[in-house]
Amino acid sequence: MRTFALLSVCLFVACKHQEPAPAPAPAPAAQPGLAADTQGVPGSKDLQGLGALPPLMTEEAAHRAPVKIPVEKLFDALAKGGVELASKHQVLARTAGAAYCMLGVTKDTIAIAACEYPSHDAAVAGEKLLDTRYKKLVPDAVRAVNGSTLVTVANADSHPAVRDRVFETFKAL
Amino acid sequence: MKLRDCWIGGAVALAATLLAPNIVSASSHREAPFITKMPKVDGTDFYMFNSYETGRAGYVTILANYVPLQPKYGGPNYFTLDPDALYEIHVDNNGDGVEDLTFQFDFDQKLGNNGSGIALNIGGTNVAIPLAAAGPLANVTEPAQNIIETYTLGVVRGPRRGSAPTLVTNIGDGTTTFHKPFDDAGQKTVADYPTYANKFIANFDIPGCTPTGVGAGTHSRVFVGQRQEGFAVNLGQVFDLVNFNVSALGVNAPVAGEADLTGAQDQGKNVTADQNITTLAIEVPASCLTKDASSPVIASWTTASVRQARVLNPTATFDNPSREGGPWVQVSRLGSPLVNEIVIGLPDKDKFNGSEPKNDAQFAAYVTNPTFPALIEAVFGATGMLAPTTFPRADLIAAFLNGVPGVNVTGSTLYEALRLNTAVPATAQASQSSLGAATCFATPVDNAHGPALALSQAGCDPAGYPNGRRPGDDVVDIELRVAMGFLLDQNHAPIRAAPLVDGAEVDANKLQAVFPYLNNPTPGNEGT
Repeated sequence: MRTFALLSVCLFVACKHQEPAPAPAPAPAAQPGLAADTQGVPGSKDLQGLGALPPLMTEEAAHRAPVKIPVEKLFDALAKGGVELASKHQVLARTAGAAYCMLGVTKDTIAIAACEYPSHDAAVAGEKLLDTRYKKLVPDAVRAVNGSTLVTVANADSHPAVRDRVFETFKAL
Repeated sequence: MKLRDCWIGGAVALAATLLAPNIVSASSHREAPFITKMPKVDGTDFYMFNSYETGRAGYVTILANYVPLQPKYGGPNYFTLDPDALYEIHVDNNGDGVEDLTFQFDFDQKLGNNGSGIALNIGGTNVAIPLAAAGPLANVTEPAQNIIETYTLGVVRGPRRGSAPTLVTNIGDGTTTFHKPFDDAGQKTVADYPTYANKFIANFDIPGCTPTGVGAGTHSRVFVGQRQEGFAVNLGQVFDLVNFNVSALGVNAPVAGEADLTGAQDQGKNVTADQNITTLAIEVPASCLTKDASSPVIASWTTASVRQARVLNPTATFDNPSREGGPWVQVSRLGSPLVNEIVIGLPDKDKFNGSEPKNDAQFAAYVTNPTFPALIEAVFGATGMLAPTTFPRADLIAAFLNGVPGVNVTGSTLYEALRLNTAVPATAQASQSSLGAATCFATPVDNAHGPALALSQAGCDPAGYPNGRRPGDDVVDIELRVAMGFLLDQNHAPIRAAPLVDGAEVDANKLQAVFPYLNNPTPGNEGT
């Protein structure tokens, strides 16, 4: 008990009335300016900081199904057909019951999600799953299946010609 | 003496403590941020709204919740507040991010039987009992109560450490002491908890303020005590990487138990429904909080602070388990809901807890370039959904750092706090929308013009979050939608209109409509 009392006294003497040094004057806060022209570009190109999510997607990337139309083939064909993507990145496939998915975005912020499935039947079932379960999340989504690949085009109501070109390209592969 | 010297002194003292014989050293193996080690000073929710209890127009109610996730059973010690901490509610009424008025709660606790503890004569020897209550409790002071908590309520004008607080007077007994009710151990200890708890609501007047706009003969009120947790959230799935209907690896029906991100607001997912909380509640005239009648917007936040140094007593007693000294160090801070949970990055969460709003520029990037929407897009991108693609997120600056134009802007200084326009009339409880003032925005034409306020819009309830926050506001659903671009135009936020939910219900009509507004706690014996 005596030790405790002595230590307490030492600590009190050491810290008595000691307010922390005042913080340096803050830098002027950045004022909100007009939005940068980042349409079509996702908020993050690097998801490594998202804990368990990157390993899940790495696993999905390592176990892709052999499909007639890999997502890269579709995106290459779209680029050749004049549908330029401002960004593209992998997204979680299990959300769509798929083996592997990528999300491409045009500069007009049209979403083109492409997912690979183990079979044609699985892709058709995936289309049904997305149509029913996520209808309220993306109400304007339009989907098509070719072989065992599923394509979703969303946010394209203002650009129907682009949407049509995506599906024409996809079906021609 | 410099701060570093204090640390050296503390380190030497603590090292000596560890090396000294017969002294117990404690350790913690948890890797969570610092505040998880100090639940008694962990602020969990903060509410501020124009009072909607009948006859209380002109008053503002402020609720600060502490001691998170209290199970309904909690004996034998239950959930006392920290008598060595300082709990504060700050109000800024001129938009500079510095408090102009602070309410300080300073708690004390002692054993019953005049501080010696209730004892029983066992075979001729008086032996102290191990329980916190020795019999039924029905009144503010009871001989059967074995742990008694009291507090003072001080008011500081200007910077919180700039002057000593002026203690307010408990109008009920003329003292400066207020009592905190015993937690709801169960009906055998407190037969009628609502009646019992209401006896601890005390009247006071704010020193130096003559209120206007309130009913004649009415006073400010204060209550501190256990309440049922009012914050509804699907905690488990939200923090499991937003694990909403995504775990099905096949194409079957949604896995049982998963929340539907666009389903009903109430999917039975409120994991905190039977938890309790400790609420610090005050109800004070708006005219005593605002700068003047022409400046009705106030910003507020709560903090908890502890002394910088603590030395554990190796021969602890009830009154003297440790010794604290040094300046106050703020360890908890809370204004708008969920900011430190889903906006501030993990490396800075404890820094945020220790920070003051006037220095919030250091956290601006977390708001202007948020990570949460990127997570949502990574999880749900296969559906074709997109996160907002505009940076910096001026809409989030308005929602969190500056106030919504036309509603509760506090000025040009950007800082995080809960903002309230005290001139917006309260909405009666039965008419409140759980989506609060989020119901008052139309689709923006473009981002350059900011959020499109439409107060005449059908269903608009401007008296709710983010114009203050009421217990019945579903802030999780509101913030989910705002994070995904509800205040942006369609070009920059394609799913801005999606009815996102976490599946945990919040309904104002299931909460009490009178001060302190949060329901009575779930009794400790219920279901056990």
